[in-house]
Amino acid sequence: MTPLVTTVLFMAALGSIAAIVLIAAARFFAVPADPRVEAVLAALPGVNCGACGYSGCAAAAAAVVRGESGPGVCLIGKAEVSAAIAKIMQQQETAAKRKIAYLCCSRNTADAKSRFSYNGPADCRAAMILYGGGKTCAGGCIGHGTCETACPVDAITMKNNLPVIDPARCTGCGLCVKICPKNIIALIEDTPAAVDKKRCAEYCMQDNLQFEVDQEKCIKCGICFKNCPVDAIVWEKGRPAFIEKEKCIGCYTCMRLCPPKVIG
Amino acid sequence: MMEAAIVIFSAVFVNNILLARYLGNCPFCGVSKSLSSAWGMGIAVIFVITIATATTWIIHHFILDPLHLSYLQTIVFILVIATLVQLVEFFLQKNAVALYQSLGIYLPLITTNCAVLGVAILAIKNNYGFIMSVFFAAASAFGFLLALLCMAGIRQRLETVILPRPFRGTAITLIIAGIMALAFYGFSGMDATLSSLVHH
Repeated sequence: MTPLVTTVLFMAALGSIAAIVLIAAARFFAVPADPRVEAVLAALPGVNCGACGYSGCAAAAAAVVRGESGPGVCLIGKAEVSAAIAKIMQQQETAAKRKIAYLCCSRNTADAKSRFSYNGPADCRAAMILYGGGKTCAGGCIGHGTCETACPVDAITMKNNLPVIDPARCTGCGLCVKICPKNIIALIEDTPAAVDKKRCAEYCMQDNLQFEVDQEKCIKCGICFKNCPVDAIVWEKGRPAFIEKEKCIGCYTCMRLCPPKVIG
Repeated sequence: MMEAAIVIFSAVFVNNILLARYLGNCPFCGVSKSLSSAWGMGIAVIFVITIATATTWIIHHFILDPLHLSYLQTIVFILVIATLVQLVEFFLQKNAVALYQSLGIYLPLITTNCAVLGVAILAIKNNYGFIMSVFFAAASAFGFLLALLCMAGIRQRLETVILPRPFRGTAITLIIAGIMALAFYGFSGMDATLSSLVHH
């Protein structure tokens, strides 16, 4: 046999074996797919924005069919999307609660104290690398508008170095939440009560807002006084520091900086 | 034992599959934008390269060599690797759902990558035994993961830097790859020195 014939025969045989093995494997290992997954997927918008928390529309459809999520899984889909899914799943329709992005910091660069002035690229992610941004407050907005650039629907505009989010335009896609290096943008429900409540300390701190200096253990260094972003600390040389509760915004700065760690 | 250690060291650092041999550039540029995807890809590569090399070693030594068909090595290996990965994917989908979901899209993506074929052929070319081939394959793939993670780490930081327009994207990636390759060049010859030390 010439090498040509051998080669052709061998490859044909190998290819056939591979094909047979794969066909057999596809049959043997077949995972029965739920036809409803396809149907739900077809009903979803198919933009794979990921706002629902799943990696894409396909993952969301699978979650709906598994029962993990309801017909209102899609945050950007309108009522007809949830109606269509409800019909496929033969369930009562529960519309998704609309969520919008919300900035938890309320102090612009003039309001909050700065530790240093920053001269690098105007991008929060870059500024974050340098000691976590210029503000003394650990949760303070860096204010270079990285979220503004990230917003696909132009719902964010920078005003006095703080992003202002237009609730009417926000689709709740969560891109700003992901890109913010300070993690101070959150998705909240679009109800007046929720919007009023969550500002700075109330949001960041959740429940523990009562900061106090242990008067006996205080070493009277004044570091907390010098760094408090809102001047809520009373201190004189040789005297223990005292926090004025009305002014305290609960930013953790004093607690973080206190050398003997007696603020809590 | 010592020989295996030298083979592993050589495969990870000295002859790093991405930086010294420059195989597998497609995922090196394409999947190095974030650490999490680089990690997923790296694990999939370790998985695929190891099983592919083990299988192709058997094919080569028990089918191709006895039949004097070694000249068909490249095409046969591609066919075998593609079939194997597809088969493993079927298997995982049914029997190891967690693994299937974590390897996800990366498994089919890496199937016909030249890094996979390259390691399979190199294992044959270097006349390794079966066990040594598997070690070599896993170590090469680990070297891939290492280089990919380094690249992803660098590129994540580059995201925040303002670059001149012509350098953005693939251009700067290739420049970084070159600089990283130069850094890894510092390892060259170390495996030979080590093995001569061991043999004396």
